[in-house]
Amino acid sequence: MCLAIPARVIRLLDEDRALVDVGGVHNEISLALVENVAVDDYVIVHVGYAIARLDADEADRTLALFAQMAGQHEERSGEIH
Amino acid sequence: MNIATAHGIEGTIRIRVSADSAGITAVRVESSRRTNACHILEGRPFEEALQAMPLLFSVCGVAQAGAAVAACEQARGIAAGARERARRRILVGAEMVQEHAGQLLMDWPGLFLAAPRQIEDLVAVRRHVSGLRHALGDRIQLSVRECAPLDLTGADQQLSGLEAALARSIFGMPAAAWLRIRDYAMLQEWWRRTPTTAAHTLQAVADGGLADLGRSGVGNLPTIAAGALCEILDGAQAERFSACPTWNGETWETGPLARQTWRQLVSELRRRHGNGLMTRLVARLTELAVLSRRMRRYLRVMRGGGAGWIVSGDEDASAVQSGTGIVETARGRLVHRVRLRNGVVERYRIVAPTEWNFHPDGPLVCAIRALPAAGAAELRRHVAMLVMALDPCVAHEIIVEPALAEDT
Repeated sequence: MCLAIPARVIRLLDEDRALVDVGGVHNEISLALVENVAVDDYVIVHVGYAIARLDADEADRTLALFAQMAGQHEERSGEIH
Repeated sequence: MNIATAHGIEGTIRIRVSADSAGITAVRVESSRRTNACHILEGRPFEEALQAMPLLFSVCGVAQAGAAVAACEQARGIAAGARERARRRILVGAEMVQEHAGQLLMDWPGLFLAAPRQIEDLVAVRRHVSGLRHALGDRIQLSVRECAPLDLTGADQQLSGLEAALARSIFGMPAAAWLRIRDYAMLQEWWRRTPTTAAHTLQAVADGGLADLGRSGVGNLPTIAAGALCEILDGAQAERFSACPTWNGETWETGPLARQTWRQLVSELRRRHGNGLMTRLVARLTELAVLSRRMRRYLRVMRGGGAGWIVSGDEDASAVQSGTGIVETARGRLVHRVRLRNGVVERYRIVAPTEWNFHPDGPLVCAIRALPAAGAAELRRHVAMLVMALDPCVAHEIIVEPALAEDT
């Protein structure tokens, strides 16, 4: 299943690249496929490339879903161990 | 919210290969993909689950939404009309074009020609795909009673722009003309005369003796009878099936090759090269050409008069309802199975194409086992070509190890 977490753009870099934040983890990605991205925008990243820009509401709803999923995963891991 | 835990939730596929001077000695595919991620939908009203679907599965979000809507419609005992079905097929088709073009323009140049990625060409394709989707309402939803006005003229223009972009950057001619290539001699003539990466790639594969690369005996995923599929996905083994699907005790390939094998050109290549690299690449190219023609046909259906937008049928009022949605995506067949109780999702299962193609004993593993002996760098390159040809929907890592026991 092709899950993809929204990443927040924290800095624009040279050559259509950007630094993004996902839950405190920073990664450098390419913005070459998505136009007009600004700092604080949320993007969907797939194998190192931003493939879509999300509006703030969509990003919030998506992050809430992933947080729930992460919570479920932790609960299940707790049950196992 | 502990989203940090969610980081890496996309999963990866790790391919471990070891070989000696005689050839491949062991192959192992390890997937950390969350094939049970759809459990997050359970306990939600189905309308809410449908809204969540494209947010969660955003890489092939249109196809995922299409399968989810189809499953819920079947469960509710309703069905979309002909024009809405046509609209959905164009939206899924446009997503497939974007994915196929992405591979041809981004992956093929580096892997086969040591050439740079054709980012600008892909941006042009994506711009028209985005415009086409926007003109056609963008999303697949259960109810289309309140569907926004559609811009069929705009859709037609965007489709023409998309066809021109594909002709310029990939086929070197209109896709419809490319589809008149029906045998190997014509294909050779095309790649000799056409100055595109796709043409140069096929020539490089032929000249480099790579056409048979990864040829194996894995068959094309057949149609599984609806009853049998429901029985599996409603049963105790559903989780296992979602993670490592088999049918009739065997693994199968799904995707462009499985779908396009019946076409004359692909069929001839199959006779020459089996399911080797050349056949898989040409199958993807063929599908890309077919898709634009198909989208234009569906656009004509949408232009047709009469009813057809409104979801029709008698809603099933029973408390427990089940439905299946099947959509052919760029990477292969995607299956959603839902069970609703009083309108709330009680159980949700998804079988994604990557699980068929990257099964621990599936098409990729069989293809790698068939590779000839080579040095580590060459072996890594050959494995990368096969992975690309089967196209996982997540990042992957190839590890060539000096020694790897088959059963450890």
